[in-house]
Amino acid sequence: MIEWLLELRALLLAPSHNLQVIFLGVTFLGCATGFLGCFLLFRKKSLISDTVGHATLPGITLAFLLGGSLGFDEKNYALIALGGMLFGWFSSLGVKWLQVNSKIKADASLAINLTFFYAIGIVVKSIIPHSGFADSSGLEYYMFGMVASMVTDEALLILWVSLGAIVVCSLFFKELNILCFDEDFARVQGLPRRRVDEGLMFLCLLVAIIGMSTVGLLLVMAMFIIPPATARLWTQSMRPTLIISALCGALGACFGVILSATITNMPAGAAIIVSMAVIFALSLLIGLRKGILVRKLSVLKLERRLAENQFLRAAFDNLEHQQQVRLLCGLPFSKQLADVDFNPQTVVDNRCWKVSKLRSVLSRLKKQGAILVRENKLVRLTRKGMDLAIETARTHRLTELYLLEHSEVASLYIHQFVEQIEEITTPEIARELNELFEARLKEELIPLEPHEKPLS
Amino acid sequence: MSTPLDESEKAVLSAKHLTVCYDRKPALWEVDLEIPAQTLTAIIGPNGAGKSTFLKAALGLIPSNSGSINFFNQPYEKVKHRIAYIPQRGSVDWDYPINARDVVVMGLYKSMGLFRWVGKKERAQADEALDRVGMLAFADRQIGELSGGQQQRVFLARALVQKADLYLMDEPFVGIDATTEKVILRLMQELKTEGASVVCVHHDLPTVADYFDHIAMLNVQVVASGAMVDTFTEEALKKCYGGRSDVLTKLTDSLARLEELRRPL
Repeated sequence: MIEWLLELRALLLAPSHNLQVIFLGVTFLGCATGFLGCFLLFRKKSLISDTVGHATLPGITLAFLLGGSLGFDEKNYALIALGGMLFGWFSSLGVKWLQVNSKIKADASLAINLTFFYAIGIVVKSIIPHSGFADSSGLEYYMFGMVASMVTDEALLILWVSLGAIVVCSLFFKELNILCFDEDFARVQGLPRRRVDEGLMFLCLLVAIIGMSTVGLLLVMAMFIIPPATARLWTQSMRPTLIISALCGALGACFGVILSATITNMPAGAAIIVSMAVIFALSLLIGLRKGILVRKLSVLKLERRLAENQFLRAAFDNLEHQQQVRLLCGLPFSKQLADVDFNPQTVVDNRCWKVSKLRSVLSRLKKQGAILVRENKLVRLTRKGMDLAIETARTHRLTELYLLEHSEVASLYIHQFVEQIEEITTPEIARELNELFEARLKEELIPLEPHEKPLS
Repeated sequence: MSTPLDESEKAVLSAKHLTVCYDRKPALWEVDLEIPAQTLTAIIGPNGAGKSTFLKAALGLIPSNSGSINFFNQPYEKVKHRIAYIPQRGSVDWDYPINARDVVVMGLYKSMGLFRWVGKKERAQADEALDRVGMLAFADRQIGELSGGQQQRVFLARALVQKADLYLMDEPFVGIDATTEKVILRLMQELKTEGASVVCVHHDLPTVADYFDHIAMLNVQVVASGAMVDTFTEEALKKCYGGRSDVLTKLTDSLARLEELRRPL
């Protein structure tokens, strides 16, 4: 481990020229895939892009064979890129054709095309060694990628194509935006929907082909899908999504390169995708927007608040019950009630609370200064606790009253509803309720339990 | 065009022999309909009468089998900048990272032209429209976080920035709150006084006479159309909601079976 860290330090402090070139290439590739991928994601084309990625294989193998038989260098880059793009394009047409001309649904159509084209690629690949023109050893390079062999020209090509793709997408941002959000509106506005879609697919294919020598054509499409999905977990608007996605793409790509440079036999392509997936997993956990931790925390907070409110209200009901007689004597009851010790367990008896839940609620209330703990496990509400309890009970009963009088919910059903009141009454609603009942409640600070009131 | 302008614009929308079929079942059959300028028109009819289909076919969202629809006596393609459409709230991706203001700005995309980015001017226009529908306070909210009525008002604002002469709305009063309903009604009146026309698919019969001044009753065919006072009669209602013509349904069913047999596999 220490050895690895030392190596990492040496590598980062003084990267070799070769490594600098690689970093340049993959950074831009990551940016472009992350950027373009956002539109693929929102056009719901993630799956089709994967199919297209796999379908480049027969094109590449055929170009390999053709190049060999025509006497070119069998690793003729332009020919191979062209072949790959051509077959990628075929497959995207094939997906659509199958869907339109048969009853096969989208998912099956995608699966059929993916496996079909890939299988053709494998078949052609197996022919290559017997053909006598070329040896298939170079093919692995395109299938699985080989970052280490990236030369300056290649990195520059990636740079220019990536920048170009990003610029084109930015220029057509309006069109892409409208199409991703509201397809019908795009059509009514007379937007050339199919041309925009095809343009997007073409750009993605172009970037994928340029990038396939980096991560390999089998995995390159993951670079288009994982970063946007990651960005989605952090923000709610489009521009930040694009930027974060591009950054995640670049970051994942660089991490992957570092991993593969420092660990022997670690293929860069796979390492890049794994890095991206790790970033995604972390975002899933701690992402600001819909991160699991954030959501869990807010649910926990809500539940705690609910439990506290429920306890306070129950305590109030309980005390009120005990003091009914004295209440009728006309004394302001909050004063009387505040000085009574009570057993917290009896308060929540009919709520089936676990002992641990009660204990944690009590300790939190104590910390807030709402209750005092007395001897014999008894507790007492403080002034503050009493105020809180009265407020909760008041809001609760006003809501109940409101539902009984103003909604068409039968009074029998109100009971089922009542337990949710705390969850749904916001401070704003409480204020409105107070205003609504203000005139009627001039004398009473708090109405009696509505469903216990005798019907008049 | 030698005809005088006001003459040629008498009808904002006119359909001639419009027929639309879904899988050989007719949704609209030989529809002839003229909607005069500066009216608030309701299209009513029972479920499956082809009300939404009519709007969609008019806008070219679904193909029509025969007949034609003209707006301002011209085909849709030529005058689409004068028409704003507010769809039912189903067709958008609610999880898309976009706020209310940017949704409204989309209404300006067409007039901005290619390669231009949204700037201050467009945002100011959007804010103005949002203010008109009482949604300015929510301009920065993500669209999916708004309530149904609020979303409807945002889409209304998107139509408003288009400064159209004809507003087509598909069931704008469905699933909304009282505030939104008031806003839509106020806007409809304002638009009318400004000289625009509004065509709404509507299905709440009790309110139709209060909200609109012109009506088209549709049940696959046009049952009646004209000014509200003359057209919205009990007799017409019975005819409209009395059910589809049985013979027509049977005829098309047998036609469909025949075609199915003939279709090569």
